[in-house]
Amino acid sequence: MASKGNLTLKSCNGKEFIVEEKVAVMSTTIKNMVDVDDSFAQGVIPIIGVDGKILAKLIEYCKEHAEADEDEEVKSEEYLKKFDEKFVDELNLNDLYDLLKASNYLEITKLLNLLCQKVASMIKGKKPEEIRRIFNIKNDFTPEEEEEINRQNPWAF
Amino acid sequence: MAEATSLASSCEDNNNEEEVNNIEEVERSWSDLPMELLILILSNLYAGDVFAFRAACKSWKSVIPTTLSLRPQPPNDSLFYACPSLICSLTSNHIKLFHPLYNQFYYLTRGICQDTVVHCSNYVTADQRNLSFINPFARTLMRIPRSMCCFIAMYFFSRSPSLLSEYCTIIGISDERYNAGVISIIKCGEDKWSTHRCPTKCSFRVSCSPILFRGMYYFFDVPAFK
Repeated sequence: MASKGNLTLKSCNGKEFIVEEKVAVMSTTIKNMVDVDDSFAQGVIPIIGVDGKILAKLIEYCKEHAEADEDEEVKSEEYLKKFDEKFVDELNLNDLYDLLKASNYLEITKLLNLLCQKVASMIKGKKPEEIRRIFNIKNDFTPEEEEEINRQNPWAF
Repeated sequence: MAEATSLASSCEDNNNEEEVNNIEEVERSWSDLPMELLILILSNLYAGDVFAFRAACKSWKSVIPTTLSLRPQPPNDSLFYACPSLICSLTSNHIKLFHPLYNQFYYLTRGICQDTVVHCSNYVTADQRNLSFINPFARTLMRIPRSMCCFIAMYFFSRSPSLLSEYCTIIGISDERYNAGVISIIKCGEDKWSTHRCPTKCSFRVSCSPILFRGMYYFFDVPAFK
């Protein structure tokens, strides 16, 4: 069985990571690559558009979750919840952005949902101008359009 | 970008540090986030937060909430969506609907985040953490604020003839002991449930839908509230 083997993942800036297959296949994209073509399992899998720092974070996440899936006693649900919380709390805005895109591309569904929840929690209870400030978003509405949006809004800001 | 350096230490080697730093300096444009990601983020928001999200910038405004994706493919027939489906099974990523008109089960295949509980019509669940509701008319999934009550049934009313999801009232019924039912209501424009205790000698008959008549909601033999 090849499932006990290791895979080598290579970031876009040339960093290589050797990871257990069970960790790597948390990514549906990688799983599909390995399933379809056995040569990926032997060689190096290039992860396009993901740099070493982000790839390291992805692997850190997948490792915890893959281990938890295997042994629930050592890594309980509560442990994972705490890990997830700490994981997202430590991210800066750029990392959050890069991880969102990378987890989407690599189809790491659990992580993608976690990150989307984190972004949503940063939006909750905020006014539009506060949201723009948090995410460095330029207000591209004209004053007329903005007034129209506020007029249509049935929820008081 | 100073805070980024603390994370760099978790990388196993730093010999490409210069390159990593170059990538750091590129400004991320949150307004240009791919649509599929914006849809996912939006699906975690409810009520006024949805509007605040959409008022942030043009690209965020253009995000359309996820429509329901069903398997097997529903018939291309307006009757299908005009008639509400019954929700039969509600685990987080496996939602099963029964369509009474077509006498068939449908499965929701995507568009619902994990850890979501969908409430519709007669359904009892202990998990009140993530309330969601399917608007059968607009075919969208709505997030609604949490409630302190444990509902035994939830009902959806759309106020507008255009059946837009924004214009609606959702009623949750929790049956308490000591001869009182508790009715919770949330309407468009509110981000909190309002709770009404309704002293009654009999239980609410949640097996049948309430009726709106001249500004009053009636439950089967129990007039509920104004």
